[in-house]
Amino acid sequence: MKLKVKYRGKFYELDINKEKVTALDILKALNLSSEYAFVVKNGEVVPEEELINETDDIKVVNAISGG
Amino acid sequence: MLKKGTRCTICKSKNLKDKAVVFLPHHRLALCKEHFINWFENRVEKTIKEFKMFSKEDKILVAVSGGKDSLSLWNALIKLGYQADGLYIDLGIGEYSKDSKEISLSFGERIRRKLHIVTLEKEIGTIPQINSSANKPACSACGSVKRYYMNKKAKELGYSTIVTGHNLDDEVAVLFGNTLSWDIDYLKRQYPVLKEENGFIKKVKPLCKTTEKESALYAVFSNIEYIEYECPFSQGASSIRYKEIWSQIEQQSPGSKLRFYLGFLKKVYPLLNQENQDTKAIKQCILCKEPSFNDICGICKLKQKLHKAPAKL
Repeated sequence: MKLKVKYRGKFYELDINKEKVTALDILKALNLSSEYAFVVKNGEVVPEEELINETDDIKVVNAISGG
Repeated sequence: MLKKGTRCTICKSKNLKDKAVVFLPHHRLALCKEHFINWFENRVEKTIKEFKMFSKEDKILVAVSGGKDSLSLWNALIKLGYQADGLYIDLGIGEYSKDSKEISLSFGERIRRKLHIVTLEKEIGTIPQINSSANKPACSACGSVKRYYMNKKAKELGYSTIVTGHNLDDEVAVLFGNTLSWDIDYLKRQYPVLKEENGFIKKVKPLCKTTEKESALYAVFSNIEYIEYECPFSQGASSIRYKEIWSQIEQQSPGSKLRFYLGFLKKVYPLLNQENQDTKAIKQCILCKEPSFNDICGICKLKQKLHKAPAKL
């Protein structure tokens, strides 16, 4: 499934080789852990097991910031 | 991991059926949006009281960067009834500073509180300029400059306390770094409240017991727009590496971050600050009159290095 996700202010296209994609798959595809990152689907924070469709508006939040 | 369909712990206890959207493994809590917001604000309030940080009568100044932590904190403080204004330091880092300043200004307008602005370009030089002449990492130089102007401006503007958005992950990363090098002088000063003394204004960290993820969730749930991309100078910063390491530890053993940090505060910090320990005397910088360990403070030395006039008296 091809998905467009917003991450750290930029848009990325993810190609995840699965028919059913979950929020956790998106985090994994971006090499992120749910310990510090989460997915916002159509404006709502969703659990890792939540199924994602190609038409969903997806934003990934990585809470780690440095400096 | 939060299973889909899990009910909110609080709603469940009230016989309500709201689904949880957040799971906090170290607190064994699954919460819906509304109860997470309440939980976060209660945690901030409890931390303020536990460490006697400030009261609702105090005029406090929040150091605002435009990031999730400072804006979430400012929002929570206002909702809790504290008299909190903001201080934004314009670091002069291109688009990053432009965007974060705009976000901070518009948030100040949203909560109808004053946002004071210090522009480094006018005061000493931008962070890119400082970075090209300072002999230390950009984040370290930036931290020193920010601390200096926060202290100076808060005093000039008549605030009693500076409030920063340092969260549990920040504190754990700093503690870890200082422990790796056994930097006793820094370890001695790592506490969520630094009292007013020797020209330093009181400084507090009400988010010291909430994680970076909790702070980001609070921002998203409260519709707070914050700067989502990283400062270009923070790439490769050791604090990010330490946070990633700690995230792995936390995932294996939830509660490790809190245990490490609170254990330090309770067991090690008092040992390091026993009265018979030698403390380096604090003087006053002969140029700017701000507190300093040397005759001329680090910022005035930096100004001289940047070929600028000494600090205004």
